Amino acid sequence: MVSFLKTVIKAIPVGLSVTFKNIFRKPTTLEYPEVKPDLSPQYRGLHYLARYDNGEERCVCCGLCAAACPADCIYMEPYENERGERKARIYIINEIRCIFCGYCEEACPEEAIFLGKEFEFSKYEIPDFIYSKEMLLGNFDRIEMERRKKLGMEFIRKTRFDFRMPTPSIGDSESSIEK
Amino acid sequence: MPDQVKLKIEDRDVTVDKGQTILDAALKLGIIVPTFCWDPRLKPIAACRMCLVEVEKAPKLVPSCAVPAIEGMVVKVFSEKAIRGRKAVLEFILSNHPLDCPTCDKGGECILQDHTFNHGPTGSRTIEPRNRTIFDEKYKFDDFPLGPVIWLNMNRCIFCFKCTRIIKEIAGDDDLGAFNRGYHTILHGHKNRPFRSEFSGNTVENCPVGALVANSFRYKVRSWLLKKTPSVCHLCGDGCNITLWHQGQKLFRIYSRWNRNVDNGLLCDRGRFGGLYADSDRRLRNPKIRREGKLIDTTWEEALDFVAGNLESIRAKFTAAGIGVIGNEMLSNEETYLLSRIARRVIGTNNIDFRFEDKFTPSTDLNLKLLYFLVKRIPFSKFGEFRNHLIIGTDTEVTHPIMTLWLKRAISSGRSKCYAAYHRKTDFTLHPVESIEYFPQGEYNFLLALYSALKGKSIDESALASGVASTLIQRWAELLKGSKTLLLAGEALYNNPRGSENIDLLKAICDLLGEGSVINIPYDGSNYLGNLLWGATPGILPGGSQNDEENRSIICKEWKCDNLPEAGGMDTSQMLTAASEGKMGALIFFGSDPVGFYPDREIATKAVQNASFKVACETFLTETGKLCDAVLPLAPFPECSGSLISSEGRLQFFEKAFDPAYSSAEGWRIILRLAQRLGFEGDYSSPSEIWSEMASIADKCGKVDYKQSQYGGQFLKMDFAARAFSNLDGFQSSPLPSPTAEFPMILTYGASVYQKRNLTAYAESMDKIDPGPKLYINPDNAAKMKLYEGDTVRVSSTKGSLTMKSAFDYRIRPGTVFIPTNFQEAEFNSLLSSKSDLTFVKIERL
Repeated sequence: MVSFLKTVIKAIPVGLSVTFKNIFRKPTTLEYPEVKPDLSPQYRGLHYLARYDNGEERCVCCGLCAAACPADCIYMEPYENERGERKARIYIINEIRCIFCGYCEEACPEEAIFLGKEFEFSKYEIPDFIYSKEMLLGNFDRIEMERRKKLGMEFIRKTRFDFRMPTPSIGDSESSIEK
Repeated sequence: MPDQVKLKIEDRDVTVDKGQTILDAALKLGIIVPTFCWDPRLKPIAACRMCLVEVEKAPKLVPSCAVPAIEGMVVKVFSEKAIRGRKAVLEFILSNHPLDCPTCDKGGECILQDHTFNHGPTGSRTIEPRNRTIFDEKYKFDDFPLGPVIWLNMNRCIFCFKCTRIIKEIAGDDDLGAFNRGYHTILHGHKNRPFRSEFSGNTVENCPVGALVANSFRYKVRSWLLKKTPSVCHLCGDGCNITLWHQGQKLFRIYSRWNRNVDNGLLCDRGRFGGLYADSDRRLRNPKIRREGKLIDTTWEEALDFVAGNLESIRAKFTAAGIGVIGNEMLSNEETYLLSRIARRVIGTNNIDFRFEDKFTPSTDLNLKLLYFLVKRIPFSKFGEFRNHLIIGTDTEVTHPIMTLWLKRAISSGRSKCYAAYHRKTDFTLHPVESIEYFPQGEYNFLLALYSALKGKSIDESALASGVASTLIQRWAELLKGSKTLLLAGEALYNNPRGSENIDLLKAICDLLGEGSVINIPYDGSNYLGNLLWGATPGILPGGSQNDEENRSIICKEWKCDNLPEAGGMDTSQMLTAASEGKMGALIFFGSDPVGFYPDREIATKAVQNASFKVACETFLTETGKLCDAVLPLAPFPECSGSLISSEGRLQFFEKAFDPAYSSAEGWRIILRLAQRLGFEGDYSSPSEIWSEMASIADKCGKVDYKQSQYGGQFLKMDFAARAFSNLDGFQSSPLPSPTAEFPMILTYGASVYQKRNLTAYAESMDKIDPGPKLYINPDNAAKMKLYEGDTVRVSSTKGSLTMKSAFDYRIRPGTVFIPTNFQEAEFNSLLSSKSDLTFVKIERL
């Protein structure tokens, strides 16, 4: 009995020392949704389809993202636009099937599909999770507008993709090389 | 051995025939040397340099595809020098190859991608812009429509020249050429004309990169998503082996499936692009029945009950002989057999036929005569063994495109010569072929003249009647005499008022020619032979035996019934004539369209209108279907399985790629369900069950040996009894009626080379390849009439008149005009009459 009491009396300050140590630390719990979490740079959230500077979509519907997708959640059908380019007529991502592995982003040769930081897209109906091309491009537009607003650069033309790939102008920059 | 050489490849000894290349020797050892321009069917040109190997004592690397193997040669394929050389070649090829794999339709199945992955450099050393060949500033990418069905992107081309060589060496045409040199090389049709060829699709299939892309596949789907199903082409009698590339219920493209006995990996454009008609969204979607004068959509149950109920009441009213069944030659063996069974056993009529495009179809006697020739027929691969080929009464390029390639191969080998006789020049006769053009319907007189010339008799009279100079026929007789000849008898010989006499004459000519001469009957239609053998004609029972007492009892035992209807049913012409007079109760059209294609539109329309009940089972709503009381949607060939017997006599099975789209159904299922409603007790769950029943019947009949049939692609053994051929002494030349002053031109009609009836017109790119109906006329005649190409003309005969655009064709015999039959809107048969052999027309410029 005595030895028991001795143990208890010793243990209480040891245990409380942890409590007192943490009582003055900044709490890790976030008051979500009032406070948003600070996401890791590698965070993979909702997809978006990027655009060129001139507003044209980057995706050429090559199907590599769908081929790379382990969950088989991407479906697409190409078409030929009026300038003879291959573009997506239908581009669908089933976000409820998606496992957010990011393989599509890695497979994309045109730097068109990305997984953004957005994670708040819960919905009541499963069909609402099927994102069409317009919705995915809209995701990009929203993210891009927010980013520009944050940086105060609404009127600056440069996007963060510019250093990677020159933007083709509609008049075709490469034909000047031929001349 | 003097004819063989021994060499060493990668320290392994190999012996090959003299003249074979290092590549052949390497392949014999199972060593794969990467190639682009090499193709076993083509002569080596060593254009791509991808197959470089190191040969000891040779100063440089040598292209293995072009260098013949020499005794004692020591070859190293995987030495460091050879690997480095091939890597440099690939780097050189890639230096100007655009990196547009994501947009290129060849991506995923590209040989350049594979070789680069396996043998190529890991990166690019150049920063200079890549060479571009701009065809049109309008397009951002340099794709360019090379012809009606093919797009070209010259930037992607690696200059292997497979395409031009396939067209030149295999198809034997000069339709595609490579112009300029080096990186300025451009592929194009001659004189800036679009690239058109019956075999143009093969260039797309064999292009190692995405330079040539089919219009119908461009920007459609990625190749790795597609499933492949082996099948057999249904659009002509050659029975080419094809692969269907499909995803879900959509058919994307048709490629050749290499069968060295049939097609050698080649396919005509009709099969390749026309076969995509199955994917058309203009197909019949639902069963329709006529209610209050209108065809309305309904369910299968209701439609079949409606049809069965009506057939029952018609049978009670008119007796079974008042019901007629008209199938078509594209039905599989199983469907034909079931159709024959429902007609003979369930309905109880002998009125069954499958031919509706000709008014003079062979009688039973003639059919049995023709079947006798099948006993000694020749497979395509042995055409080269014959000294001469005599082709009479057919345009082989239209009816049998791939057989024509075998003929061309026989000619180009230098061992054989071809003689073609038809009422006009054909594409085939533009090759080194002796050709004769007789009067339309002049087959009998021509054969008689040739026979007399071979006999050494006077031929002036018959030659005059056939419209050929007698010296020409004498010359042919001299050239053909005594040589081993293959006689190919076309459909114009037996679909002829004098069909039986023609075949007698042909047999006599064959006997007069050299030893080993054989008659082949290349039937026009994917399963013409199967339809004959499985009882789709009144006179022949399933199994190929004649409809007589003895054979009927054999079939009765198999079908477990007491008796079958007595012989003497009607064929299509008789059925339609009887129906137009109101003597037929019901007509069942199974894939057939007599209103659109029977060469007398008036009689066919009257027949369909006057029959008390008529039902059509078809893929697209045809002219006949519009007049019918019930229309049932029939699934096209990619959605069915079964077997076909090609005109060569080869039995081949095909599989269904996917379930029937919309609510269409397979032919055998429709027939079976209808039969069950009419009191048929049997049931089948798949065509293979039907086939096992058919095989036991065939075994009893003993005409055709189907024993090994389950392996497919089998050249059937046939055993038909010889028929008596009539004595030719009494044969006299019979001058044909000549055109009158009022109607000075002779009308001929036939299929266009790219089309099969109206079916292929529903395929996506076929309207570009063969746009609309035209009246083809010889330029000489046109010049006399002051007619220019593209003028609108009115063609009128005693029966009616048509308005269409004119086009020049110097292949047409002067004094005749030609209308392709493939366009329903043209209504070509409204000019024709079933009463007269020849139709005379007049042409007026509007």
